[in-house]
Amino acid sequence: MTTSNSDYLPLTEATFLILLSLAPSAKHGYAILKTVQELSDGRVRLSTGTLYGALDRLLDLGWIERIDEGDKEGERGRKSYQLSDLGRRVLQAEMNRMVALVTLARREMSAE
Amino acid sequence: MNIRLIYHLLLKLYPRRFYANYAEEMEAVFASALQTARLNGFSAWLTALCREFIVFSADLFRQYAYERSRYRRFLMTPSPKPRRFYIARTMTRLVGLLAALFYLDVLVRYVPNNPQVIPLVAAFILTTLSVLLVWRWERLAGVTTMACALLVALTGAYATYTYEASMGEVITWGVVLATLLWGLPYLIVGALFVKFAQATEAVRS
Repeated sequence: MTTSNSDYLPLTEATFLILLSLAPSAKHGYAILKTVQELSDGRVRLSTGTLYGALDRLLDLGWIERIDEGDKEGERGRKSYQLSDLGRRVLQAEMNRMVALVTLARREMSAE
Repeated sequence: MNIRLIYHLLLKLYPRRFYANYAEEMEAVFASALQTARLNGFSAWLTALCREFIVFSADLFRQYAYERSRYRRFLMTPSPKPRRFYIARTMTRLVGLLAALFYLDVLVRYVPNNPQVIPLVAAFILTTLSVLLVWRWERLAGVTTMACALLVALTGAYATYTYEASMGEVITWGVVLATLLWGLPYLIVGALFVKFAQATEAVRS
């Protein structure tokens, strides 16, 4: 039995925002935290545990990838996260689902 | 004690795999989040701090639940460790815990009239705690349970010896030596914990 992208939908708001924050470029943990906060106008503030719990699940699903930025002098390499092709497709599917919903709602509202 | 150190210690409560993968990053992110919040004043810093610590237990619980489902998924897939491995491991843990609690309960009832049992009760309390550790640190629990088995055997023999001596009876060394066997079940349970830990680590690696 195979699973399609739509089987994972709808995404939770936190998952959607995390994936969206990674859409333009790879980011490390703190940058994701800040971007999610900015994207949601400060409404969604993830704790560190929530963020890494979500990242762990997304890595397991193969929606994101973890990349090592390489060792710097005296410190271990920082890890960044980037959207995988599958993750991008899931994000696109979720956006399509949302657009379809909004279109439907607009049509029904204007018909009143 | 500074807050980062507290957070560092709290992170150790996370499942081992998760801790190994993310603890270092999480600590750095936690420090950065607080540092940034501090720039916006004390109340912002306090809010950020409270958010981290209040949500911590929920995050921890969620991660354990996820870890469990992840492990089950892993067991469902064709792997060197079949489902009966998981069942045997759970059974060993539960039998070890129930046995320790049962003997502890029985012995506690004896304490008022037999103070010589107190060291044995203490040994069983330690054994119970040691068995409980297995849900978090399997290998460590195995080693400590085996050590507790030795403690149970020695305190059991001591309790029997002092009981017979206090009653003015001739000490039956055969009985005293037989009480050394009380530790045997925990020695077996501890050894099984270690074996399961080794098997799990071998599969994960």
